[in-house]
Order: sequence, then C-alpha cells, then structure tokens
Amino acid sequence: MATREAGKKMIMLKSPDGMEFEVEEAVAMESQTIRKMIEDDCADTAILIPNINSKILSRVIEYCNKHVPTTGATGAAASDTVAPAALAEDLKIWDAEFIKVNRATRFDLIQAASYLNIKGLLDLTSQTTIDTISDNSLEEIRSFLSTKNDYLPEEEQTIRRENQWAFQ
Amino acid sequence: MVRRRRRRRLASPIMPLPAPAPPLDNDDLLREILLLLPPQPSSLLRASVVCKRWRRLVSDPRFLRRFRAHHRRPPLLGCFSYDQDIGYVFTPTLDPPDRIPAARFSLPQRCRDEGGLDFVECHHGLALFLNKKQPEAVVWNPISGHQHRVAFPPEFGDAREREILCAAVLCAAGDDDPGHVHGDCGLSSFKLALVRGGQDHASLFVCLYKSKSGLWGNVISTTKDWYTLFYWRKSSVLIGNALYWWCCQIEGCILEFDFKMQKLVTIEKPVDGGCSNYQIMRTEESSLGLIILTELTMQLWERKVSSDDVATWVLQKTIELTKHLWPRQSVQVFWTRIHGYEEDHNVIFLGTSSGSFMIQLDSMQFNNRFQFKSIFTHFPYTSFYAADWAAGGRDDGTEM
Repeated sequence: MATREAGKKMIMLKSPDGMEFEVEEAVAMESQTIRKMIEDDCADTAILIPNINSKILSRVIEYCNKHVPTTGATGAAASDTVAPAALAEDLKIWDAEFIKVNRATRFDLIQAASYLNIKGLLDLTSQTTIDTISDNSLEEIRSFLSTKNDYLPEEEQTIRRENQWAFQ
Repeated sequence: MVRRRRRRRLASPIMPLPAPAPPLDNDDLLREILLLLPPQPSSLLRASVVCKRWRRLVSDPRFLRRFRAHHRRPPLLGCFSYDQDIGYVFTPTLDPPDRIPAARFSLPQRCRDEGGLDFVECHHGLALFLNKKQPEAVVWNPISGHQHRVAFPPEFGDAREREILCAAVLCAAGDDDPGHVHGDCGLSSFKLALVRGGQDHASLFVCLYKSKSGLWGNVISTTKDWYTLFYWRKSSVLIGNALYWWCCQIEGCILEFDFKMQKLVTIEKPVDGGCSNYQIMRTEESSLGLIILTELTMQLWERKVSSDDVATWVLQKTIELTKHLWPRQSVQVFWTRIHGYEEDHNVIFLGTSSGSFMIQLDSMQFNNRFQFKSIFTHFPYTSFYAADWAAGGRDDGTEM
C-alpha cells in the first residue's frame, strides 16, 4: 500500500522474485512508465514490475534515488530548480562509479532503463556500451556482445578492402 | 487538500509490457544504442562489419537520417587544395581510423583530363567548380563521384569563368523537407548562386539556380563603387539565409546575397590599416563576423545591428597567434595567411612560413599534424560519409 513517511508519499515496487521496495513516489516517477501509471491513477498500491529481478531493480532504484531532483525550499516543482555545476559534476562522478558493473548487469540495466523509460539511465548505459564498441577491435566487440559473425570470410574481406582506412 | 480517488484492487497492478529479449537482440534498443556511435566516418562502417544484422540496421536510410539528426554537425574530413604537380588533391585532417585517403576523393577522370576546372568551394558535402573553357558550373559529390553540369544563366550573356566574381553551392533538400539534416546531401536537390560584374563596372548581378526545377531564377542586381582590377574568388560563408563573399578589390568589402529575400547588397568592412588578410566568419550568435589577420595578430569582428537597423562593426577579440601557436619557443614568422574557413566548425586553416595550422576559433585549439603542400586556398570538406557505402558504393565519374 502507498504510505506516507515524513510527509513524502511512498510507493511499493515489487520484483517478480518476490522482493518489495518501498520508494518515494518522486523517485519512482523518474521512470516515465511508472509516472504515467501514477498520473493515470492506476498505481496507488504496489506495482509489480515483471522481468526485472530484484538485483537489477535495486540498482535502478539506487540510480533514481541519486538522480531525483530535490524540491526547492519554495516548494517549486522539482524540474524548475537547476542543479548547480558542482552537483552536476558530483552526479557525473557517481554515474561513472555506478556503471562499473559486469557486462550482464549492464545489459540488464539497459533493458530495465528502456522498459521503465528512464532516459538518464538509458543514456548512461547505452553510452558506456558505445564507448566499449568504439574502443575495441571487431573481434573484441563480437566477443563482448556475444554476437556471431555471420559474414562469409570473403564478404567481410570485400567490405574491409573497399574501406581499408576505416580498419587501420 | 485534494484526495486522490482510490480504487480497490485484488492484486498489484502489473506493468503491461511484453517479456523482453536480451537487450542487444532487440532491434529497437540496439538501434537507439548505435545512434550514439560517434559521427566520425569509420564508426558506422566498423559497426556494419560486426554482423549482417548490424549492417542492416546502420545502413537503413531512416537510421542514417536519425543518426545525422542526433549529431547535427557532420565531421570535417579534410580539405581540397591545389597542388602544382597533381592538381586538386584532398588532404585528410582526421586521425586514423577516420583518415580517409586522398585517393578516395580523386577528381572524376573528365575533370582531371580537361584540367580546365577552377575549384570554387564546398558546402553540404558538395564541391563547386567553374569551367574555364566553357560557360558552365560543375557540381561534384566527392563521395558518390557524381557530377552535374549547369550552363551559366542565359541572362549572363557570353560571360566566361573569369567574369563570375563569386559563386556558391548549397544543398536544397531542406526547402522541401524541413527535417533534412545536411551531411550526406546528394545531387538530387541543390542550389547554385553565381555573381557577375556588369560591363559598366558599377553593378553586380546574382542569379540562383535550383536543380529541382532545372531553372535559373530572376537576376538581382546591386551597385558598387569599386573597380574590379584583379579578382581572386573566395568561398562563400553561409549565415542563416544569406551567402557572404569577401570581394578582394583594393579596399575590400563584403557581398551579401539573401536568397530567401532575394536581395543583394554590399557591406563595408571595419576601418583598418589595410594590407591585411580578411576572412568572413559566422559568429557564435550566427551573425556576420570578419577575421582580420595582420602579421601575427588576428582580430575577430562582429557586425551588430541595432533595434533601429543601424549596423556597426564591433571588435570582439584580439588574438596574438604567437602566444597560442608557439608559446614556449621563439619562432621567426615571415608570413601568415588564412587559407580557408569552415563555418559549421568555426575552424580556420592558417598558413605560415613556420607551418600550417587548423585552428578552432572558439577554443583556440589547433592541429598541425597534417601536411599541406599547397600555399593556395584550402576548401574544407564536411560529411557524415555514410549514405554512400550504405547505398552500395561509389560510382566514379558518372554524370547525372
């Protein structure tokens, strides 16, 4: 059930493996999908989030907790307050630490961020993946992504030969 | 206080979403990730070799359109310039693996054989030449290899190449498609502007060609009070809906052609001592600017227009080049010259007796790792370099 704690509205998120997470509504609403459910008035109890296990869900909540904008003293809407540069820098450092996870966890986070529509988390996880793709050889990319190379050797050679400069 | 209406539920609401596949097996998600690949020319090419599925995704025209829209500004691949031994040649300015070899952008056979083409400028991935032997302009897409020849407007009479004082080429795809992002523009829709001087030496005429209709528009004129003794055509600078050319007569002035308002005017430069090197620039506020280079001092001017429509030149910045280019050594520099400028990146190509430099004017960061043989004008070339290989490769020298 939605409860109140220190004047803040709380909401319960449930993972399919039976774990429950009580979070502030504002934190849960970092997810546009959950925000819509709340705004459409169909989420005033706990929300079961299928397909995201408790390990990943707890990481997602950790991210949202860190990134939820703080409400200004005047009670202005959170989105109206501009984070100072120092706060932005702090978040950047925090993000860099947060994303130091193994490949499987990162892919699960991408999946969860897309699923829950959390733009910041999707950008962070996607950009980290892109950095990996950009910094490694094709063989390393394939291995990292567990992607099978389905080109015939001569097909791949043709593409490489036509654009040799791009593979130096 | 407004209380939210509560509904009784038997169980917790479940998010109405389908069971997910592993993240990179989902085309939509992978597409979103691949959009973040850097805009440099090797990145999509390399991604396309990972597997056939990746190639299908990154060569899809809708993906490429979104990729361009995401990055907005196509990378600066390098410059074309004139080499006395081999003619016009491309010099890459990116580091490997984005260093496209010069041979990839060799001029079409016919252009090389004729040797009668004068390089005028590049815009939106298209290059413009004027034919010295017959009254025509040649628009060339260095990536696809396609070229398109356009005869001078009939209203220009028997004007030859030397009488065309200024010329410019632009992509026109945005006229019909507001969502178009430049960077892989083909020859399907371009516009071409030519300026010629009047026989009386007191007027200038501009005419705009649109490839879509295949027609030249009306001739627009303005008067000038300077006599053209010697003319060195310079590339145009695009600012908003206007093209600007530096007119190299004795004093020097700027020619503005607003192609939307169909207006041609001349603009005086700031008062200076003369004997300098001038380059039109696009300022941070997207207004008209002028670089005045005198020996090792570079002044950046901006033209400000007041609310009552009075325009004045305001000096924005003075840059002592020695401090930036040779901060820790004493170098004797005998000459400096601005060889080229690219407005989307706000980059100048500076030639000096002590080396060539590509300088980003906002940051003053510079690169001197490339070697330009040429002491002539450089024509910077920008492109995402994606549409061509995605569509199946280059076609050398085909005319459209």
